Amino acid sequence: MSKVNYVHETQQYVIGFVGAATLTILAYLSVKLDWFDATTTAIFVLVLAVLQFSVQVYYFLHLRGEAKPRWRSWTFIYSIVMMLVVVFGSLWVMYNLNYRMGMSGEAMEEYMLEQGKKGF
Amino acid sequence: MTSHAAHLKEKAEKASLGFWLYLMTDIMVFASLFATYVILRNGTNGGPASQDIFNLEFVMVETFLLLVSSFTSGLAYLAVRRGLKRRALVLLGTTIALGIGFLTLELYEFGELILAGHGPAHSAFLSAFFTLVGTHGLHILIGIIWAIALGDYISKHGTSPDALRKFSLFVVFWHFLDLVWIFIFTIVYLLGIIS
Repeated sequence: MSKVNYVHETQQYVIGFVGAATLTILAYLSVKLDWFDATTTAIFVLVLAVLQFSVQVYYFLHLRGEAKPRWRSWTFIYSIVMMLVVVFGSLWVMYNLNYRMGMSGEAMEEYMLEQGKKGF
Repeated sequence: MTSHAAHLKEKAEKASLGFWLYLMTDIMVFASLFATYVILRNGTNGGPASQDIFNLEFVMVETFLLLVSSFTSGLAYLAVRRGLKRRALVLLGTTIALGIGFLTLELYEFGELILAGHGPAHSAFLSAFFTLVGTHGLHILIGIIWAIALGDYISKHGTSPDALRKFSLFVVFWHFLDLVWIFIFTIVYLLGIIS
């Protein structure tokens, strides 16, 4: 392998590092200095986290240019899909449960009667 | 390519794919711990909530220690590939030192919480917090031990193809741990301070 190749790879690492550091600092400042209201800040830092995840996967993990049949890339994508199912599925079920369990007895009875009228 | 070189390449390829599949299962471990944490984070049982116990500056230091160590581990990998033994060892040593720094800060944070009576047994929120962050910390500890063993191997055997194969697995593991930390930093600490 030529030397140029290593220079390029080192550059990739530097770009990844600078990108990740910038995104981390941006997230920190947005929380520390209250740039937005609470909901917007929450969405903002989550978007930054996904961006930083992408930057690190692209520049640090060597998934680019993987030869076919690309086992790593596909298992990675599949795992992320399953991860989202587990996380958002759990949240969905548990918030629903909380909502129903959080009612007073009377409210619950009324709610159940209403649901009963709708049928299944 | 000689048949010996082809054999080594195939061995490296298999080991690397196998290790990658292990990491994919580790994603599921962290996914369930994250889901648990987000669901239980408001279950404080009259104890402290997330905004009472987290110190953002402290966490920023931890985050940067880990990010820089992820970066130096990648550079160390490139050095092993180029056959620069000395540089590889220096960079790996830096990675280990930063990892130990990170772990020390994390244990300090845990110690402070436990001494203040906010241990994992206090509330659902704290149980979930200690489990999620502690599992990540345990991975970091294993990574540090692994890195020390690798440093020992390279200092004895140099930057051989075997050393490169071993190193490539470690470096993926270490990058993976920093990927998980992005979400711990964001979901546990940043969102914990906002709410």
